[in-house]
Amino acid sequence: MTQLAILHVSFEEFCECVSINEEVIMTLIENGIVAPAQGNLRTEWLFSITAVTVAKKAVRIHQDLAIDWASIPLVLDLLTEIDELRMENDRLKHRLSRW
Amino acid sequence: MEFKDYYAVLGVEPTADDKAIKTAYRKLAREYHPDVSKHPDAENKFKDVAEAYEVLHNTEKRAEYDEIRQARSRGQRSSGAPGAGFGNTASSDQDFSDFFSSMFGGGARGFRQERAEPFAQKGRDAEIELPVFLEDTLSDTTKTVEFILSHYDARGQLQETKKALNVKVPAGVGDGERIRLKGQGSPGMGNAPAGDLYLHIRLVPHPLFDVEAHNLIVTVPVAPWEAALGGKITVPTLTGKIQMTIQPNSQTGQRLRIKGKGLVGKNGTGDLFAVLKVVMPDHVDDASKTLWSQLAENSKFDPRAEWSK
Repeated sequence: MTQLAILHVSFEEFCECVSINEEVIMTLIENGIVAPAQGNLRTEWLFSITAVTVAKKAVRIHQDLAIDWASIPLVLDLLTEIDELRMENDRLKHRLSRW
Repeated sequence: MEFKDYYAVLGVEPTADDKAIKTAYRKLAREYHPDVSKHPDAENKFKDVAEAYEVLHNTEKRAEYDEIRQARSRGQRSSGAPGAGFGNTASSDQDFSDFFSSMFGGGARGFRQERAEPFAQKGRDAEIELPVFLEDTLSDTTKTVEFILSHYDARGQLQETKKALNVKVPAGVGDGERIRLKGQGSPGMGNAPAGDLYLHIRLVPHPLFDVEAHNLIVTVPVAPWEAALGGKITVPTLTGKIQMTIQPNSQTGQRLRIKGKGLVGKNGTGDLFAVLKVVMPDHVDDASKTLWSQLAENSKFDPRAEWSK
């Protein structure tokens, strides 16, 4: 049996995936932590699976580190930036090793 | 069962007040939280810290814990399990130790979504890394993933199940992207649905090609005379080989674009860039030496002209 990979979920499924209620998800959206990848109306919204991971991470950081929602985007941006810099650094080191 | 010294875990005195406990927790959480820490054992460290805080910042739990702790230091064996059951109030989605469960009852999981039915809880999500070869991202591909799920059975025992699945990975997936497989995580409790499986895509480094967004880079070694005179060379691509022309007077580091031979992306296919690298032969025989000498005598080329300005 082959499982078809899911790349997008509806708003309802998104809440279910992140295991938090709609209200908190709306807080995430209002604070610009996640945004629907497609759709104008809430019923048409589609979220990427990457957004699910971001939302989960935001919830964990909010609870465990007592960081308010408004500061979460900054924290996530910085974490993402560090990750990207690390990855880029690895790639560049790898390329440099060819010379 | 192992007794846990929650005060030692947080590095505070047993007499510490709420404020000191909170400060100690915050400091350790910042250090070990798996989302922000690069510490190799961050996850386990944070679990211990979160468990200690869960007990010590709650007046009732702390009182109960102190009682057990004092009974223990008087040399009495605690009969364990007062089982008052503070239930699902823990702040983190994780499993606490047996020691914790014996005091406060079952798995303390998630403040999230209070559920009406008492014994129904969605199974835990699982996340695994899925290494994907560059070649496999060009078209839809089927991969077999094997993983181990841990979950509690009806008797509260931790069970591990090995699972294997065939997964269709869509063309054009990128490094770090995630894919969800609904219902393939740990089984739910009661009538609740199973958790989901998340695959974290990792592109496997290729021996020849480097990735730059949707473009590929291949380093092409060329002989000095190829660079000087130009010529046709064969360059590998992800799908085969291709003929390429080098212009006369080519330089190390020069990038030649081969359109449409990169990775498949959301906005079309990327390109392949061939980066020239002029290399010297390992050995120079006498005949070559003569030729190089003639070049040295006749050439006015000064590679370090910049320095003498």
